[in-house]
This record gives sequence, C-alpha cells and structure tokens, in this order.
Amino acid sequence: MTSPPRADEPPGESNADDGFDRGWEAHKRRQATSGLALTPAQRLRWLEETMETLRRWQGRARNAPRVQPPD
Amino acid sequence: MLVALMIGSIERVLAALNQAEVRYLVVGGVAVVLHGHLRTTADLDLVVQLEPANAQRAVTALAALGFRPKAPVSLAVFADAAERARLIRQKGLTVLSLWCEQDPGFEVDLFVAEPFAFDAVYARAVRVPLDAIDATVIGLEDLIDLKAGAGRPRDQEDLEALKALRAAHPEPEHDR
Repeated sequence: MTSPPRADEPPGESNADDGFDRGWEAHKRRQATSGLALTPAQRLRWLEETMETLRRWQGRARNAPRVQPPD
Repeated sequence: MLVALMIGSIERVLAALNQAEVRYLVVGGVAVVLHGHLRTTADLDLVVQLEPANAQRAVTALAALGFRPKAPVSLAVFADAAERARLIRQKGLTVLSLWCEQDPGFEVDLFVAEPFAFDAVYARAVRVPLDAIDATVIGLEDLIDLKAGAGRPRDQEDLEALKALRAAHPEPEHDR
C-alpha cells in the first residue's frame, strides 16, 4: 500500500524535475495520479462524499441571477 | 485525515474570496456541474481577475487559509505580473495549483493568465447559492466558449453535455 504523503508535503507527483506542471497535459497527468496516495476505501469514500454534494448542487446555476443584470 | 472533505473546502475557499471582495469566476468541473452536467472533479478551477490589487486580495485570502503552491514558488508570485509572465514563458505554467495541509487532497487551480476578457465575462456571470455561501460562476455561454477553445478530451465531453443542456433549456435572448 502506498504511504500517504506527509502533511508538510504536497500530495501527488510532479511532472518535471523542477516541480512545475508544464502545460495542460502535465497538469492533467499529475492530477490523475494524485489519488494514488489514497487507499481504495479512501478513494471510494472521497467519491461518495464528492458526488453526494455535487448532485445536490447540480444545475443550481440554471436559474441563478446574473452578477450584472442585463440592460 | 487524508480523505478530503472537498466540498466543505470549496465553500471555505469561496467564502474567503467573497469576504475579501475578490473578483473571481468559478470555471472548470464545478461550473459544469452547477450548470447541470453531473460529473466528478478533483479540483476548484478559478479565474481571478489579474488586476494587481484584486490578485493581491486573492493571495492574502488564500494564504490566510493556509494555501500554498505545489510548485516551488511563493504564493505571492500570483500577484506579480512579471513573475507570472516568467513562469508562463519559462515553465509552461497554465495554472498555479495550490494545496493546504488541512486538506491535502483538495486542489485549487488559479489561471495565471485570464483566458477571456474578464470584465465582460464577469458581467454575464451568475451568483449561485451553494450550501452556505453564494459562488460567482461563469455563465453557460461563456463556459461553452471556454470549453470549445480548450480542445482537450474532457473539455469536449463537457462541451457536448453543455450544448445539450443549452438546447434543452435555452436562455433568454437578453442573456447573451
């Protein structure tokens, strides 16, 4: 099992030796691997909690008021 | 605890930005869900207006929550136009990804260049009630334009879903 990252270091892997994500693809690759620090049970819990709230929020922008009302 | 209470974290970040009167727009996966297409997302993508005082307010608010960049730079670089330009040019940076010790599984991505004319898009944005606070979210048409310009596979999936939502629920003419 992969050890979780220490609290004083960022989770996930960096795509370049210097720690920067070079472009969108590198950014996506790092994000895709960041969950590897979680156990399967932790990933499932994260997914359940995230989806529960996203379902609650789904579509709330549809009838939301505009920042600046149209003229 | 490593498993992030991500949603609580989203509202915590947006509440701090609201409190600091930062001009920002929620874009990315959270905006896609709020406009009606349910999919998962692992981060909060924000376009913060890069006017110096506004960017500095964002830096101060996020630093107070304990956020710092994953890359080896100070959060202060976000408010420094010359440093942002250097990181874009030399490091290929597109977003500055932030994390905090309190919630290490949660990521905030700040665009280091405004991907659209901020004032115009902000004027068309919507204020969306979440659980405890309101979020300022990019409007549907502008989100579609942003996704169309990005061209990555995930963006194409979002684009098709958002277009289908628009077709099913057309906005009033004056909203464009």
